[in-house]
Amino acid sequence: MKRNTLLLIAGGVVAALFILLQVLFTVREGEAVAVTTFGKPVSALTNAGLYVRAPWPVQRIYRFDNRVHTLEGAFEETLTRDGKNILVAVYAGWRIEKPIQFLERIGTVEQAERNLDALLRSQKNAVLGQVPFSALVNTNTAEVKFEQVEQQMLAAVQPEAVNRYGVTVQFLGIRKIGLPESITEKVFARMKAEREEIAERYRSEGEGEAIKIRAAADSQRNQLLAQAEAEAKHIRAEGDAKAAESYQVFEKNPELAMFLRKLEVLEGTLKKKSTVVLSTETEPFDLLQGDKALPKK
Amino acid sequence: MSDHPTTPETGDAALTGALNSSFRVLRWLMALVAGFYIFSGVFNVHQGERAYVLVFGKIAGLAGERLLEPGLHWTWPRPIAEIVRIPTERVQTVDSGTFWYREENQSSGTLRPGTDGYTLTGDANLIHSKWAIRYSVIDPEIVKFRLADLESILQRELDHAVLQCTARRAVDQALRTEIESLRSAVDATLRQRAEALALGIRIDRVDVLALAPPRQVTAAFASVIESEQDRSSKISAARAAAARSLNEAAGEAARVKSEGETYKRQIVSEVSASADYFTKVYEQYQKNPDIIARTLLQDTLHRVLTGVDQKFLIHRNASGQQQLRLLINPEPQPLVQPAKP
Repeated sequence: MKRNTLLLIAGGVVAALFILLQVLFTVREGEAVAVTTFGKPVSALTNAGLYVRAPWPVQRIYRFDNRVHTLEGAFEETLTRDGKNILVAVYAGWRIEKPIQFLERIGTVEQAERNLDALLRSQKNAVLGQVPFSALVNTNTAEVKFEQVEQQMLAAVQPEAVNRYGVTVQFLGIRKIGLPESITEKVFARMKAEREEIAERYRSEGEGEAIKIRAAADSQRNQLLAQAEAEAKHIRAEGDAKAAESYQVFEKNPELAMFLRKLEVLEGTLKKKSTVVLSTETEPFDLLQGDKALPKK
Repeated sequence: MSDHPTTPETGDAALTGALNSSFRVLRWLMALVAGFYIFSGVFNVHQGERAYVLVFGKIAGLAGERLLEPGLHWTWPRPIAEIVRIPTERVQTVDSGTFWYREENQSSGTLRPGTDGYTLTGDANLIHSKWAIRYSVIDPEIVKFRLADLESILQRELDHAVLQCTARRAVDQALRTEIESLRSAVDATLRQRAEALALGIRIDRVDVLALAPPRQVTAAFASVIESEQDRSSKISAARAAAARSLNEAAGEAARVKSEGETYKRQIVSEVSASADYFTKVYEQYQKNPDIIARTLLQDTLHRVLTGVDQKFLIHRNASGQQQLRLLINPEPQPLVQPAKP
């Protein structure tokens, strides 16, 4: 009896597991599931968890990666409003919004990217055809309309992507802007010419600036020296004025003062390597005249 | 052949015994399998990683406690639960060489779209650049379960930010004068965008790995740098000359003023001495003017003539006239070298 019970339990567990595996299924985090009944989509599941279904062949489940995927469009030529031929590559982040619609219209991620690429391309050309080249590339930042251009593209792509393919384009951006290969050669020629002009300007600026600096220095130097000369003259004048105060004493006997001054000048003037010619009448050489030089009694 | 034939009773008993043994073995086997199944739910979260447990596909645990830290854990084994491991290096890096040229294509005079990367500057020039982002994951749930490929998104967002910021700057600003400003603009744009798109990461820093003009115009750019150096060196030389000239002028001015001061002191001192001398001589002179004057004259002549090289005395001639000529400090005559044979 005991044996039979054990066998029944074991058999029941195996049968229950088999049935559960047929009717239960999980939706994993980051997954979306579309359920079909006899091939007709009946429900979409985007929340993770355990679900029940009718066993195959009644119901079938289709799993999709519901995370955000990135798609990069082709780097290809397009025309701006002012007729500039440029190459632009746009990328987008997208995820499955409506699993049933996605299953019916697209089926796979690869197919979805092919369809979205075509959609991006047409909207990119349409939007860029309405803006000038200067709205994308400009040193005047106020004129750059990068964000607006991307917003316009996104606004144009989003409804069509949802309605047509069941996917939502969450973000979009311009990744590359380029020029056709033949144009790059002309750009280089212009860049070289610009560089030469700048180089020449720098050289002449250097010379001009150096001249200015030297001229300013000369002017400052002359001013400094002139000021010093003036101050020195003033100082000398002060000295002369002060010395003049001492001259008053000479007024007691101007003749004696001049005599003493002459002696001083004579002594200061006749230095070495001088030749002096004197008369024998000059004292004390008058002694050489003999008796005439003797003192009178 | 056996000596004792087997009876039906003994055969049943043997079969029953065998079945009992089998059931015992089966029971133990089932218990062992059940035990092994339960035990297989033990798992280790290693250092440098965290883990989520998905129970029936859904993240287990309460909000804030879902991410399992390193250590030993248990959960229901498959197919009930699934362990999702997430690397959590503190800082991760994504590089972008989208705007760099192809090294093998050096000799070409053009840039080939799709092969040679570049960006357009605001003044419609072309430049090459390489960039890198350092970032940290702050919400692994988003990174793992909401985004198919975070690195791919980040690389495109980085290129997008570089493109936008370069398109607003002139070539000289982007390549030379405002590199840091360009870097910080890209950094700010990327942070803003990462936040708006809820990427679950924090941008730690954006770095410029390389910036260069196209190789086709490298020489022209080098020429500008040379001329700029030339300008700087000319200005520096002029500034040095100006500084030298002004320093010399300052020295000269100080000398001129100093000479003035010296003159002032000297003249005052000399005149004061002369006045003192006069005062003293005057007292004696008043007493005997003639003798004092003649004595002073003779003393002076004595001192003067002692140092004079040549002295000539002229006696009065017959007509009673005499001449007095003085040669003061004659210039030395150059020596005449004897002619060489």
